[in-house]
Amino acid sequence: MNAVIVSNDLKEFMEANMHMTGQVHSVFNSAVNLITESDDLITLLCERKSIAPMSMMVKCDNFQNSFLKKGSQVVLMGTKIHFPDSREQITLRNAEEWPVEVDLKFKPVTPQLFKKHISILENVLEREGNMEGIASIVYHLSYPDGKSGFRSSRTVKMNQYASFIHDRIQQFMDDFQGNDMIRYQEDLRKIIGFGPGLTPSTDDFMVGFSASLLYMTRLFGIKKRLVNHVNKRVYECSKGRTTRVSEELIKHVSEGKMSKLLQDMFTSLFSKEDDVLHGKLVELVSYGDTSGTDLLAGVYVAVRLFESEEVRRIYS
Amino acid sequence: MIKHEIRKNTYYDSVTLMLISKDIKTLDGVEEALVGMATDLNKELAANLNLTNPELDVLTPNDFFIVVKVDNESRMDAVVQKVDDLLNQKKAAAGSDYRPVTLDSALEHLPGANVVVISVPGKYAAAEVKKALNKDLHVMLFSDNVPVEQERELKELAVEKGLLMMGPDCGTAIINQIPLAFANVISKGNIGVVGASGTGTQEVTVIIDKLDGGISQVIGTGGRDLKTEVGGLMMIQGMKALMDDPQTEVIVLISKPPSPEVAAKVLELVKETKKPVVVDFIGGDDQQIIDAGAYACTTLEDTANKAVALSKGQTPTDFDGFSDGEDAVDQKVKSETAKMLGSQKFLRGLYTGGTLADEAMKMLGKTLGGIYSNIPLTPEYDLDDPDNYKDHTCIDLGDDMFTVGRPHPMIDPSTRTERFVDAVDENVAVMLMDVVLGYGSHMDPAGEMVQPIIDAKKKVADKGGYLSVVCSICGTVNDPQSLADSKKVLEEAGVVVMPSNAQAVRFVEKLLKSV
Repeated sequence: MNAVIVSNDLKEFMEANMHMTGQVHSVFNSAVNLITESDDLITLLCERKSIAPMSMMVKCDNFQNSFLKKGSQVVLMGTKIHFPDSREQITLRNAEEWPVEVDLKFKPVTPQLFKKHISILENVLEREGNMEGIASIVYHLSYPDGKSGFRSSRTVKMNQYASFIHDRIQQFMDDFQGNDMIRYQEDLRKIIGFGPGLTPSTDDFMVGFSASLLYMTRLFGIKKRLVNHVNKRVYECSKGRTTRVSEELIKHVSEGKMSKLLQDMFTSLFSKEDDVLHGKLVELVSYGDTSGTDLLAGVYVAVRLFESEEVRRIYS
Repeated sequence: MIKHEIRKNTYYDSVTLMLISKDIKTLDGVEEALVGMATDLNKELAANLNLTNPELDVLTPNDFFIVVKVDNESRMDAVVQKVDDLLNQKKAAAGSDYRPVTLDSALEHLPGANVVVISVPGKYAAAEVKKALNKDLHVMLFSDNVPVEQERELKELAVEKGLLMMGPDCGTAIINQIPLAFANVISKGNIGVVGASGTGTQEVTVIIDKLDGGISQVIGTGGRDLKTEVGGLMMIQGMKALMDDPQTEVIVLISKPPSPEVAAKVLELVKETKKPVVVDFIGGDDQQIIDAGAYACTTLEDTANKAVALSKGQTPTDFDGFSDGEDAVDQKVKSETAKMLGSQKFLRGLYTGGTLADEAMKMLGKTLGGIYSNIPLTPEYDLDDPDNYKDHTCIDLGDDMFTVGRPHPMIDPSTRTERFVDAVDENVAVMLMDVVLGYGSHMDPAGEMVQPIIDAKKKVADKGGYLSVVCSICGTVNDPQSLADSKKVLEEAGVVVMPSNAQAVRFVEKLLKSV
């Protein structure tokens, strides 16, 4: 099996660890997670997935039918991964390298166009989103402009999960607006890890929130130092409170790394390429069953918070 | 009582476990339920729902749990089974591409698209088609049950806007080498086809490919296009498109016999093009075609042969023989009939392709006289009950009467496999059938037929006779199903596999003449 694309952080990691053992952590149709003896998580993705930090894309239609079995042994050997149990290997030799670090050198969108982008985002969330996770809270939260609810003619009733988490997210938003670090950190502990899936809904929400902050440093002149601090707190609060895979995603965002899917969407949202924005947003909400929608809800909440000049002033 | 199931270090990907919780709550005897990864917050929710259980407390976020409140202990097995069923169901669906739910969102997702395939219940189809045409999109309308007045109106709108409105009930098209609905993988070439008959068009294009020809475009029109009420609007529109298309050097028109005035209108257009036109109005008026300067054809295979000859600059000739030669076929007929009983003299045809069934009946009608059918050539041979076979019978299993509430037999072969054995008895000499490969069709239509063929042959053998099964495969070597494997499994089951429907029918004709 050959790797087609490899993230640059994984390539560096493998080159720095010429002989490291590990095992197959989990196997899904289009992704396989490996966990190393150093407790680092490496993801193998099939080609229909989007390349992400610490991952490589390999030619495989369905990992469930491959030689990769949960618990089987793995040996990292610089430019290849060896699987002793099946005597198979994956080589990185001809793989294209992909940079995982977010590129913030884009030309920011004008305020007028940004409003249009946000209305496209609202439109996609409403028309294409899967509200079976916690995303319906966006209809019921209070935003700093004093207006309650989603800017839409309709509303979506909260399900059991959204109802459970609504007040906690509202509290986090309120404390975040005042940059009350101690309180919002406390709030995060009551938010992270909620929702039943491999990446719990609130984690997807927080990934969207954190990633937006990073991009908004470019748009609203928010201090990167403050954003990094917030995102580090999100990661700290996730440790031990959520699944291993989800924790890793939050960690990557806190380090300014994210998947190509997310990078492309954010570049469209915050730059002038509005002709592709709709497609990128739709692609994102189609990710997982509710993950993409929950993540986009986090983006929406972050954007609504920073529409407030007061909030922007506090974080500038 | 509270029951639980714990799966240590088990992960589920992209599944809406929330929905699964909801689903299991609908099971008898289940009052409350929660499934998920054992994070602190999920455990807290379990406590809020009064589903707390000491064993949950020690779980880590990487453990999966199911916890339910049930009225008795035995319910838990059903819950676990249901969760597993739903998880497997979700897993199978995972990885599917984005499926827009409206035309607008589809267009926003793919702004450059200029063809839309519409398959909605017939009563909603016209509105969707109108919407698409008003957005300057060509339409392929797969839906049936669209009133003919609406068809006319939609096609008039399409013509006014210079667009194609292929359908309703349009089963096949190949636009810019992209197969739509039921279509085979055909080599690219210089023959353009406008077809008002689905499997007829597939058969012609498949044989074009076998003869080393290729197609530029295949435009479907829907089966009613050449009726008086519609006036051949799309046949004419499609033909004009092919006349203007520089890639198209030979034009093929395929339809069941059109209304005479519509045929005249279409053939009038033939006179306006310098490109050679091959016309197969299956069983229609050949002289009218010849008078218009087009090439008339005897069968779908003959149509393909003539088109390929013209595309290569050769003079077309009628083809009404056998690829393997007459002697080899006579030999085969002899061996097939050798063990037959004196009572065995009837035909059964079980077709999935309607035009192929129609062609068979038209070719055999001259020899056999009347053939009973659900699509009879004359009303007196109409079968009230299509499962009540008598004398010579040929059935189109793709007819509406067989597809209400179930897929077309090209997708789901069970319509035919369920009937195959019952259709034969000691008076039947030969079973004639088609196998249609290509996109849209079942992934192994030949393999599905093997057991019923063996059983049917045994049924006749048990009575001391021999059942001959004759088949043609409408497929190319590049179709998603394997043409070679399909042929092999059928031959291994004792089937005579002929290179085309026309040759299969001629083989049957010879066989029935000799019994």
